[in-house]
Amino acid sequence: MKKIVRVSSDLRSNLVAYLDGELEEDVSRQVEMLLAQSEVARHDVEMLSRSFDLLDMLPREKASDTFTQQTMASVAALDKHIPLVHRRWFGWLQRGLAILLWVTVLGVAGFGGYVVGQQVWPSSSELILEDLPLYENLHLYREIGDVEFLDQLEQRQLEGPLRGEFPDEGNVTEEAQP
Amino acid sequence: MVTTSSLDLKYLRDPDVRLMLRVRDGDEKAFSQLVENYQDRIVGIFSHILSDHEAAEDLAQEVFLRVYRTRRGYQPTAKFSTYLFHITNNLASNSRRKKSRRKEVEMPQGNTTTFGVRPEEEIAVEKSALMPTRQLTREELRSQVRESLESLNDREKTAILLHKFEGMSYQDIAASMDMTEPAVKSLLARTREKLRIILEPLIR
Repeated sequence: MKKIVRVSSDLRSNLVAYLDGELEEDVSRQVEMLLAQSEVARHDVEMLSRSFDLLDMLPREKASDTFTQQTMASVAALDKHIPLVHRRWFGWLQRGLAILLWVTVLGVAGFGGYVVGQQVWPSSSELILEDLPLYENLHLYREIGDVEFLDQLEQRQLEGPLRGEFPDEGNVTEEAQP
Repeated sequence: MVTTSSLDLKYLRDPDVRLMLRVRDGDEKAFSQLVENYQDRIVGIFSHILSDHEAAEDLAQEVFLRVYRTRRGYQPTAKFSTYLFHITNNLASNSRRKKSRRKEVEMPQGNTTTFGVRPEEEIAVEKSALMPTRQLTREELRSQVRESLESLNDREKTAILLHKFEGMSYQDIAASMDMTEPAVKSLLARTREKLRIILEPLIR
């Protein structure tokens, strides 16, 4: 007596994939087992296969002899009417201009930074020049050696090194002499 | 891990990918070669989908022009045939959408006459072709097969055509039709079952 095995919808969908060789090995084995047991499945597989083969009867239409020629003519026309923005040289020009713009921006930024830096931060030689009177009279400050005395001179508004009007050493000695 | 460069190398073995890379670099002869390689296949697919050879040629030409227009951005991330049939599928979908929009405003055509009645001869031929006892001529059988194909919806038709006539794997069909592989498996199973039901009386 023939054994009747029901074909589940899952297995049924696997039958097509089995025919197409698209199943994994273990699933393929399941289908083969089913085919060995079920006459219904065997019939289905045969009908699926034969109905698919019938599609071979459909005519295979071909392109006309002039198809390539016409397509290449259309391509040539396409090249002629290519918009400016899609032309290769325009792309290069765009890239060149962008690079030039960046170089200019960086150059201007660098120069501006240098100028601003010059204005805001004095150079070391400027700092030295600023303190020049101090350096020039350093030996006198050392001789006085007392800040309070200098303050008193300041209060009396006497001429002195604090005002930067200190007379030359030579003149001082001359005046000091009777 | 699969890197982009290793994927690229894999597809560089495809001679048509190499031709397309030459097209990208401005080689028109390579493009002409690609057109020759694929023209019959693309026209064949469109002819089955549209049932109109002239329209099929126009659309096939549009496929190639689209390939040419976008050549500079081409990256070999799939087999060339998959890339080309992806464009083919997109254009076919667009064309079908336009066609269905036109149909909305047109008078019904096709199997009905102006008065909505089909010619008796036509019905008689169809009925006789379905009789199992009658031996069908080859032409009648072909006509039945064509009708069975026409009965499929667009996605089913495209999938079955790519599988049958292009010998494409489920993976390639999935890539061409923007679907997953399990979805393609299910779609093809459904489609083949439909065809089996329609065509089985002709096989017996």
